[in-house]
Amino acid sequence: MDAQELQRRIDGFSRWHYRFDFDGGISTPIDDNVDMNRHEQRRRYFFDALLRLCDGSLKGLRVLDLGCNAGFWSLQAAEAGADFVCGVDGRQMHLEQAQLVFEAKGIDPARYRFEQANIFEHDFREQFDVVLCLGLMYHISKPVELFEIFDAVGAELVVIDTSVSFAPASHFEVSRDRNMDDPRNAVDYEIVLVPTRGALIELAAEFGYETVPLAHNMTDYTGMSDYRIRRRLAFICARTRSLAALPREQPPPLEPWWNALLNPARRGWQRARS
Amino acid sequence: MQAEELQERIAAYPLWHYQFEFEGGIRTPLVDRARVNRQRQRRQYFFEPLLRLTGGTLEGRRVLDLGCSSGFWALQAIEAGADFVLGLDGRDTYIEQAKLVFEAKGIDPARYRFDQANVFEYDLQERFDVVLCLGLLNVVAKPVALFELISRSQAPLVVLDTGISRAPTKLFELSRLLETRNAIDYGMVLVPSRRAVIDLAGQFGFDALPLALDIADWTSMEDYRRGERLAFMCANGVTTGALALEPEPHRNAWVAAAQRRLRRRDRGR
Repeated sequence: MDAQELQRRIDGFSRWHYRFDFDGGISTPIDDNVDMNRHEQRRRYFFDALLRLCDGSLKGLRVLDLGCNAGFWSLQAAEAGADFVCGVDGRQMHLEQAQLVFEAKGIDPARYRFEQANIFEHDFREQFDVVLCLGLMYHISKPVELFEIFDAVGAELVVIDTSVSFAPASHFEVSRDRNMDDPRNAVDYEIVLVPTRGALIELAAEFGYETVPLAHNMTDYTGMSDYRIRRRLAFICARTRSLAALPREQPPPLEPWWNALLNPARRGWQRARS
Repeated sequence: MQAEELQERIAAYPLWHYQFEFEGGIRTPLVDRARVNRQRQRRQYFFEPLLRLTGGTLEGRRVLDLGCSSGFWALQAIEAGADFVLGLDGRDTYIEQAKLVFEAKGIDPARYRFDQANVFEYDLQERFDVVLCLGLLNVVAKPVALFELISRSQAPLVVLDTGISRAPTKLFELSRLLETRNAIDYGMVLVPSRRAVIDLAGQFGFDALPLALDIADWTSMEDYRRGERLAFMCANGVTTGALALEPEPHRNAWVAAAQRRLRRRDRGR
């Protein structure tokens, strides 16, 4: 593919969520350059942790990327040496973008496949070693069925990056993805279940996974406010591999309620008044 | 069926959850006699409002009973005139009990069917007019899948009786079944709060109305009394104006408890 054709095909999409850089200085346009830092920090945060667990390379491993968007994380996996990457997404546009990216990057077509499907209706016949579930869990309403998929594909390692509810208990907050047209949102229901940290760990344990919430290692929180306030976390779940080497994010200390009044940043009623 | 034979077949089961009465004074034995009151009060609580909505009879209606246990509510539906009842339960003991009960009651076999099935794997093809989902939502880990099944039945009326979390927000509490033998698929379950039930039902087009707890005798109704169990009438395009509704408890748990006590005292007068 020559540079002009690539540029034309990139421009053919109305929206890119991730920035990809190709040869000849061509890159995909993203809404906000702040996102660049965000994706770089996220890579450092959970993708490097995954690589560390796998001794620096995904060689010999098959990777399933659920909710793959434009294939950004699939590409990271392929570039980290994964034998095969399967990306699944509910929206046709994302799959076309991912196809384009992999083609332009010159990845061997035998090493990847992208499929359009509602993951809960998809029949996963193959086995995978690693499942990437990044930015997906808080867009769905079926957390238990999600883990059934991990179980069905025989995943040994699962990386989950998700918004979490702040509560110190084990529950799922019911929330809503109001705009079903937003390409990032789920394809079936508006209603979504957002786990608390405890709920996710307990749910994973039910399926035989040990889970570690990853300690933050961000160098720059620009565009990362959800991570900064610990509203968003990444988890690594493993069946047999030891996770002892991973730095663990400590749960926030339980504060007495009056601290909220003393801390000006958390005085919601004052902010509302001004 | 002869009385002795019936007696013998009833005695073959060590545990019955409901008391059924047959001709000749034969009854199914209950471990806890107080539960007779519970089944009577629950009938008053959510089954009578269903009949009120359907004009006093279920004639001409097909009823689906999810998690039917020994068929107590299926029998209520048949006795209220329902054309047909399909009962689903995961455990074959319950299905056998239900079949025994219906046989002993002399119900026409063309009017009912009991299938042993995992409700999440059941391939439901038929249409129904009423779904009874009693004590099931709080013992499953897949609330959305349960509602998908309910919505496949295309029923405009669902009676939903469920254990709930007392949390004042919309959430599903991750909990564990005390007796794992009751598990449909997992020992881990998601227990909805009142608002979560309303939101979930709303997603599938139902108006979920919490029924007023006008209970005459609270014996053996502890979970309802504590606000840990509630029944909802879920209606999709059905007028429900005549139903009395349970007001939402106060956000503060202590205030809510005091209010519950006050309300109960007022009703007692």
